[in-house]
Amino acid sequence: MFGLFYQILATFSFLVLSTTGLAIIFGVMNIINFAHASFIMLGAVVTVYLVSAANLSVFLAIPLAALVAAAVGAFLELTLIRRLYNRKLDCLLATWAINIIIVQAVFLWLGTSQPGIDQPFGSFKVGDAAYNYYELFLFGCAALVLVAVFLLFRFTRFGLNVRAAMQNRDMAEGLGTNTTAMYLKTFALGAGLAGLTGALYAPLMPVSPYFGDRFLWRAFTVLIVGGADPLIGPLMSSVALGGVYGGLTWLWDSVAGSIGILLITMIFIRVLPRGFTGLWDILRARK
Amino acid sequence: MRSKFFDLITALNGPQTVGTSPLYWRCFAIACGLLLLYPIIGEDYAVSNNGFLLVWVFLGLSVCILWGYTGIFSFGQTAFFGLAGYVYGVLSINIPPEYSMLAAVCGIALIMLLTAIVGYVIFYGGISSLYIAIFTLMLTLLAETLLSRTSGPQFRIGSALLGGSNGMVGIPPLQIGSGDFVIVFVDKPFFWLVAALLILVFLGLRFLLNSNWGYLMVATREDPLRTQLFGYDIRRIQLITYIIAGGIAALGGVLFASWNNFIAPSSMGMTAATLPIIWVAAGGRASIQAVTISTFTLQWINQQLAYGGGAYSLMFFAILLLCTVMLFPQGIVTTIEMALEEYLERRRVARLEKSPLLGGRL
Repeated sequence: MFGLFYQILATFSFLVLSTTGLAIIFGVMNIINFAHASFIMLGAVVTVYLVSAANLSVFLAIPLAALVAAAVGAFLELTLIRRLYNRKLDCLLATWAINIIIVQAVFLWLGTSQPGIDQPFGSFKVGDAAYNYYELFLFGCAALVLVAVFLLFRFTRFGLNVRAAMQNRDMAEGLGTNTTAMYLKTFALGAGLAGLTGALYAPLMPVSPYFGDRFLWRAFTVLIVGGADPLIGPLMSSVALGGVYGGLTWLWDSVAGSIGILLITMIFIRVLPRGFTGLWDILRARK
Repeated sequence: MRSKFFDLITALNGPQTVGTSPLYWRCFAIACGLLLLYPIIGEDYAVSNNGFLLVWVFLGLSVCILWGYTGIFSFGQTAFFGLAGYVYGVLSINIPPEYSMLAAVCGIALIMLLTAIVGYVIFYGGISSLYIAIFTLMLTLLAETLLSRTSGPQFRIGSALLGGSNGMVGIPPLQIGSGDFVIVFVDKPFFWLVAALLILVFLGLRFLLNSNWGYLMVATREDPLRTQLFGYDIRRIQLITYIIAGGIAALGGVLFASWNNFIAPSSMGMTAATLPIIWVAAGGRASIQAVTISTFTLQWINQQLAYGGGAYSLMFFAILLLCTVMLFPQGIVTTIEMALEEYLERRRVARLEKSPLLGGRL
C-alpha cells in the first residue's frame, strides 16, 4: 500500500514541477512555450556540469542552473518572442525552432551522454521495497513551488498586475501597467521554473540533450486537463493525473498508465474543453 | 468536347490556388510530361530515390490543406502516416502478394476511420487551436512510445512481428496481378505510380479547394464564428477536412512502407512530426503548389545533409523555420511566386501602354 502512495506522490511532484513553468507562460501570455523542453534540459545539463566539473554542491548548483535557464529565457523573449505576440501560432513555431536549435547545439557541443551525478540523501525501507528520500524532497519542492506561485500571484504588486492583464490586457495597459516588462518577467519566470525542474531531476535520470522530451508530453497533458489558470490548472490536474498514472503504474505497468492518461485527456477535451479551470469557474459562478 | 475540356480547367482554377493563366497550364502540362518521362532516361537508383522523395509530398499536402486552408494546426499527420505504414505492413505480410493493393486500400480506410474518431473528439469538443496542436503532438509521441515497447516475439499479428523500436521488417512492395502478368512497383514502376498518384491528388485538391467546399474551408480559417453565423456547421467542415487530410497522409505512409520494406516508430517521433510543419511553413502554408515544391526540395537537402552526418540537418531545418517565421511569414516559395506574379503583371501593363489600341497611353 505504501508503494501506491509513494508512486502517486512521485508522479504528482513530477507533473507539478514539469508543468508549472509552461502553465504560467500559457496562462499569462496565452503562448504555448514549445522551448519548455530545452529549458528543462539546460537546467539539467548546467547542474551536471557545475557538480562534476566545478565541484559545486548539488544544492548550490540547482538554483544556479535555474537562474541560467531564466537568463536564457529572458534573452530569447527580448530578441525574438516579443515580436510575435500578435501571431500566436507563429510564436509556437518560433519557440519550437528555438527548442530544436538549443537541443542540437548542446548535442553538437557535448555529445549524447553526460557524466551522472550522485543522488543526495539515500534510501529507506518499508517492508521489503526500498524508497528514496530524494523523491520526498522533490515532493517538498513541488509543494514549495505551488505555494510560492500562489503567494506571488496573490500578494505582490506584480501578481496583481499579472492578474489584471490576464483578464484584459488592453485595459491593464491603459491603466498604466507596463505589460511589456511584465511579459518579460513572466517568460523568464517560466523558463527559470523549467530550468529548476531539470536541475532537480538531473540526479535521478540520465542527462542527455534529449532530457527534456520525456517531460514535454506529460506537461502538455497536464496543461490540457488543467486549463489556463497557472495555479489551479497544474495543481488539480496533477492530482487527478498523478492518481490515475500512479495507480495504473502500480497495478500494471507504465504503458497502462500512459494509456489511462490519454483516455482521461480525451474525455476532458470532449466534456470540459477548458479543463479544471473551466470547472472551477463553473463552480465559482454557481456559488 | 472542347468546351467540356475548358469547363474542367475552369473547375480547377480559382482564387484558392496559384496559377490560372494558359501559360501556367502549359507549363504544368510540360512539367507533368517531364515527370512521367523521367524514368525512361534516368538511372534506376536515382529514379527510385527521387520517387521516394516524392512520397513525402503527400505528407506535406496533408498538413497544408489542414493548416494553410482550414486553419487547423496539426502535429499529428505524421502519426497517421506512420500508422498507415504499420497497417499496410501487417496486412501485406499476412496475405499473398497479389492482394497487396487491397492491403493498401484497407490501410488507408482504417486510418481514415481513426482520423474520424480523433477528429470527432477534438472538433466536437471545441478546444482552442493551440490545444489541438499540443493534443495532436501528444498523440504522435504516445504512438511512438507504445510502438517502441512492442519488441519481442509476443507482439505479433499473424506472421508480422511489430519489432519494437527497431521497426517492422520484410514489408512486401505493392504489386498488381500475379503469375506472368505482374507489375511489382519497385524502382521505375514505383516512380510512375507515385508520380501518377501525386498528379491525381494535386489536381483533385485543386478541384476541391476551388469548389464550394474549398470556400467553406477558407471561411473557417478566416473567421470560424462568422462562418457559423452564416449557418454552416464548422465542426463538420473541420472533421471532414481532417479525414481527407488523414487519407492523403495515409496514402503517403503506405507508399513509404512499400518503398522502404520497413517501418519504425521513429517515423512518428519528435523529428518526424517537426519536418512536415517546416516544409509547409517554409514553402507557403496557403498554397499546395508551394508546399509541393518546398517538400521535394527540402527533403532533397535533408538527404544531402544526412550523407554528410545527420547532426547538422536538424539544426539547418530549425534555423530555416525560425528565419521563415521571423522574415517570411507567408513562406519562401510563396514570396517568390508573388514577386514573379508582380513582375509579369508589370510587364503586361507596360506592353498595354505601348499598344496602338490605347493610343500609347493607359
